[in-house]
Amino acid sequence: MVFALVACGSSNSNNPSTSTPGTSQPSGEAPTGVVAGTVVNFRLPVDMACLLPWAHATAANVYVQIYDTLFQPYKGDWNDIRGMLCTDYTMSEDGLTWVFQITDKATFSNGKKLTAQSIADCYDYTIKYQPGLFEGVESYEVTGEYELTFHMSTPNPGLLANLANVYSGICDAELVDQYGPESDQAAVGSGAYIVESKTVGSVTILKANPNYWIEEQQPKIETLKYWYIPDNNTAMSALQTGEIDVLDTNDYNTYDMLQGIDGLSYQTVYDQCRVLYINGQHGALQDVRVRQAIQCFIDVNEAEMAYHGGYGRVDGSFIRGTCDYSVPSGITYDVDKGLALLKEAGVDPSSLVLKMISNTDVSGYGENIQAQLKEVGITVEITTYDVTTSEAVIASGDFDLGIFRTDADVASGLIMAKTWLASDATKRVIWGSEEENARVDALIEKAAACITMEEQDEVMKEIQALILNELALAVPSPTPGRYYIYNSKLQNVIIDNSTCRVDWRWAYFAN
Amino acid sequence: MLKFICKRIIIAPVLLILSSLLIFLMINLTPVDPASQMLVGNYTQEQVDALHEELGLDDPLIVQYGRWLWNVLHGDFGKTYTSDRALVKNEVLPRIPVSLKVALITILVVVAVGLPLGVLCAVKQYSLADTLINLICKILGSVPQFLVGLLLLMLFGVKLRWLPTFGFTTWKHAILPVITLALPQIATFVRTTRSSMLDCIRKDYIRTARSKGASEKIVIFRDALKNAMLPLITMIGTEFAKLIGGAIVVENVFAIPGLGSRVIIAINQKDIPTVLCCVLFLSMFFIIATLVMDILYTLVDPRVKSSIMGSGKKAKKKAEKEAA
Repeated sequence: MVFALVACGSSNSNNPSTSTPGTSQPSGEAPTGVVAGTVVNFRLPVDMACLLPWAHATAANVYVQIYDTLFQPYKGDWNDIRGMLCTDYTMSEDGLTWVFQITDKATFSNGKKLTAQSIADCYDYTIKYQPGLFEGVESYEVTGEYELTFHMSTPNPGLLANLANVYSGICDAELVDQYGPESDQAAVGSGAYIVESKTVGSVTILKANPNYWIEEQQPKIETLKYWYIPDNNTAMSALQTGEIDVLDTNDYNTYDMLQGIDGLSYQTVYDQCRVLYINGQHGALQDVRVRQAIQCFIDVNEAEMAYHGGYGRVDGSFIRGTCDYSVPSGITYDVDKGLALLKEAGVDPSSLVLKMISNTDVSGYGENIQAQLKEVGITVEITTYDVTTSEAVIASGDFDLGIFRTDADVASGLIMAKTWLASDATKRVIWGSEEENARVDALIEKAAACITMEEQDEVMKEIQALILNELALAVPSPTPGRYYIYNSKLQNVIIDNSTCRVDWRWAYFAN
Repeated sequence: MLKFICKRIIIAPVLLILSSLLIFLMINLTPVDPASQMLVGNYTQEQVDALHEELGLDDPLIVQYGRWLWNVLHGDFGKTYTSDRALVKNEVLPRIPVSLKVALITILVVVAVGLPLGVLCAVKQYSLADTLINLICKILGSVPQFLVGLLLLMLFGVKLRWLPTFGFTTWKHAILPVITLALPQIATFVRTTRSSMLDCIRKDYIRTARSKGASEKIVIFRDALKNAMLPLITMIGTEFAKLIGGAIVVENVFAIPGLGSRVIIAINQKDIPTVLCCVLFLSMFFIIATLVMDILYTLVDPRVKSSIMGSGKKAKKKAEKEAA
């Protein structure tokens, strides 16, 4: 197999995982094929509705097992994207034509041959449900039995990463035509596992594919059971009784409570950013000095301790794609500097009454910011909504301070920027003056025109530096971890370092 | 009697429509655009507009509601307003038997335990047994359900390892959730049975029965208990209906795929079709439960039956004739 290697830029040296990047330390010899009778019981905190690859974030843990993609983040590492169904590719100099060579070895688990036509047919559905993955794609056509050609309207260096995203997994589109794009009966891929059964709201069972086409990546565990357990306490109990082997949670208390228990292994991956956005369109906040002052009044380390108990991560990054775009933050916690800035702007801190939009997902964090700002005399009134409503309120611009989560489900930083940061973004979070917005938009356009990933990475850093350091429209916030606690007998557990999905092809039980 | 049942069955759809309309209007008050829930990643305004047109979201609310109702009447509950756009019926219908099973087993346990204890308390009023049972009921009634659930889970699941901690696949899985749901219900049921029985025991007809030499067993179980059953039937019916959609905490703690927890998720996601479908079924079960309650009243208390039978024109004429 010829590997198609795509670097994600130079900014990724700070790997987020506490252990080896998203990987447990294997011990002993890995078996060569499926070990009969081996079962992994995996806890899902959110139920999944549909098992088709483009459908739902909560089912993405299952998609990784069932579907193959054109490319893959090799062993969960988005800095090492390699070919999967694609054996080779070429890109024209202007970045507007991509030709992908497809393997002739792959078959769907129902025995049907996987060809370039199968991929094109599947993408016809994917593009409808996940249009962001096809950013810049004008059309694609089958140019040979095992050759697929993409025509771009604008270059998109993130295309390979997008085609490595689990949502662009390849399923048998003929079955989708037959059963409909919401039917689990059509959930047939060419991946290492096959769907055996699914009970709504309870469990989804996968079995190892006995005819998996990638010889060197044969699964070792026979059965995967994904249990939907909404309550963290119940999941903790189930882990202790051995009813489940892997607990996936974003609650640091759960992680904390299970520390030090014999027979358990731990991994932390950081996949989300929760950012405090400052609306520069209202009242005193229109003055950039006032916004900078607010940045100075917030001790992010204290917020991290209060909200994530020390298990989170403080960094200067809030644009997330397949990799971080951390920039040196020009913001430091400095109350005196903040007060001086307010004085310069002619604003009395006690005259500031700010409306903060929070949501149930970040409760605790907003209160901490409120307490910190109160210390300097600024009043913050918090309104807490559910996540979807808070997203809609922030997108409407009706806020002074807004906390919202942005995660790495989108494949490239450019998609993230277009989804959240642009002034015409449907989930807009950046609200500056017209001139300030225009500057952000211009940089996003510049990023969109880049042909190489390296160039685009540099522009993404510029965007972040502009929003954080110059325009002061956001406060880089502590990033929570996603915690995996699992049976120590499980070896070589590979967790995607960006999207936190476990690829069970690599794991095995120690003897 | 048949007329009474028919009348109630005819009113039922009206109630269902009203309850679903109310929920539909309330959930539409929130500023969330369902299109933003369904589209993932970087989508354009054109895509939002296209989805609006596809789903008819730009139509007046009453038109949207009418369309939904028409589709439901044709067995189509629509698709979820989430990114997967799953079929609502696939999401909701498999949960109904689970919720019914949990509610039914719980009510049976409540009646089986609560009724004899309540009768015992009434018959042995102010005895040690009465005081003890009352005390226990007060404690059980005041402890939050999630705490009871977690304590039972810790004890029987984690410490003793006798029972599974989550899921609802075998009879063993039902034990802890049913106990958790039943304990506070038993407490209320015992107290209601006790006070209802005490009311009846003090009535003249009980004194008359005793004076006629009827045995204490017959007096308690035939005369007193039968008359004390009216408020208990009301309680059983309403609690059963409430349990179908209201066991949210227990469904969450024990990971039971029931209706209650699903409707809460749907509300949080502003998934209107799923919420409406759940509300429709929950309202239907409530209406059925109250209808069954009314029928049971007539079996237990002849006065209720005669008042129902006596409300019609024919019955009035018959009564007038008899009077003449």
